[in-house]
Amino acid sequence: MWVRTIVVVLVALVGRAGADDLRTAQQHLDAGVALYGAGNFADARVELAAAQVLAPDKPNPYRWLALVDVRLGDCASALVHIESFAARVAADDARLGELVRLRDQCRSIGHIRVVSSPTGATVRVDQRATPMMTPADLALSVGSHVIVVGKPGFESVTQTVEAHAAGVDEAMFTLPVAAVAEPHHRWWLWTTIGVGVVAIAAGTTYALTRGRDDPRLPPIACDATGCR
Amino acid sequence: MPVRWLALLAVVGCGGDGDPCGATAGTCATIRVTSTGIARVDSLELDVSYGDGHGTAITMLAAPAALPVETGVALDVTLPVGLGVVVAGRLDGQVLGTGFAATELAGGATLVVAIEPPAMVCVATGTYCGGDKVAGDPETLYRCGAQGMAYARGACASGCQIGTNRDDTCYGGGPRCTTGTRYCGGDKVDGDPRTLYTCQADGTGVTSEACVNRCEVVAGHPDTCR
Repeated sequence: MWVRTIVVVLVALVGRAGADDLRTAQQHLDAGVALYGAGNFADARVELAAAQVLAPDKPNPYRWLALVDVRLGDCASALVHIESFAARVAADDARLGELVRLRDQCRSIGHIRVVSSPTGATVRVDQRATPMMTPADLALSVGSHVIVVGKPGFESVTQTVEAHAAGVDEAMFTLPVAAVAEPHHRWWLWTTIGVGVVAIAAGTTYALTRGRDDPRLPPIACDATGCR
Repeated sequence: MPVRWLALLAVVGCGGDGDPCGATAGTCATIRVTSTGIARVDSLELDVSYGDGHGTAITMLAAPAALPVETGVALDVTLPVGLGVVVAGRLDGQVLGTGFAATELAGGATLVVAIEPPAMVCVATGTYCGGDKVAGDPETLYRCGAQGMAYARGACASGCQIGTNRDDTCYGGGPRCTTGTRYCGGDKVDGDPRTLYTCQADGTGVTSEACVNRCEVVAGHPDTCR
């Protein structure tokens, strides 16, 4: 992608020497908008950047760059483009409302990259489990969050991190190896006691819960009209 | 020896001695709900997608029960059929966790659905691809309901795209719609598969009509609500 970026921008700069920069810029802008509509945000950004280089005084390339940067998850760049757009249009420009909303959204989210040693640890955020393993990128609301990183064989580590508006911060977790309990010399005694306790507990649980804690729920029926 | 005890405890934990599908006629899938972090539930809410069909239902216990619990989904449809089930486990009216499982159903089957508290809660009424803040199929668009339960809007034929700071949407496959023609979301225009959009000159769609039941893609003709 970088090669393509360089090529397109160079073509744009060379094209600057020509007589009709604005027409070329419009072509790049149109191509960028079409790619944006197709969901190809990375290539759209390349075309829009070329349009912006050729027509730096025009507001529209900044607007589309802001839109595409948001789709690419780059709120920091989007905020810059929003300000650039706002500086080039009248205060009552109809397109400002959309970008102001985008700006407010960007300012309410921050990214935290959670890394750990060792890697492959589970991540909990604000007492909720996530499906992510370290290293993990989290998009969180701006403010403080409690992150717990854990892995079997290691002690869990808790940190309170701050997500900054449109920011990308890193939180490093070093997990200490969990202490291993010293084996008791009379292992057979404790094994016998343990087995006895488990047997009593299992029997008691079974007796107390049988018939009361039925884990089967009535089935539901679905047909062409829905489920009941 | 410890292994034998674990086996015994597993049997005790299963408790019941019957099949939740046992009393139903026709094809029935057993839904076994497990969790590592949730202890007990008193009801399950299921959002069931089966082929072109979709439905939501709640099934309740007489008293809270420890997980795992089981229920059944009896289907009166032509087999084989793709079956996707989003499950929310509730206790005292509160959703404790959600999960999803899917299978290609050709006869009786058992789906194991692991429910866990969501890491990041979806915004009610927003639309999300499965796996993006809601439990579900990554290629299906869902609407976020109360307490994070997801309700399927429909499968995305060209893929479900996750939006940044905006609703997720079914990808339309690129700007190739005919201006002025109506399309279901995900069919040549980005959008919700249960909404009709009118194609604009720039290849995007503007909302034309929200379908009560479903939006039908008609090859070679304008799409329509059914």
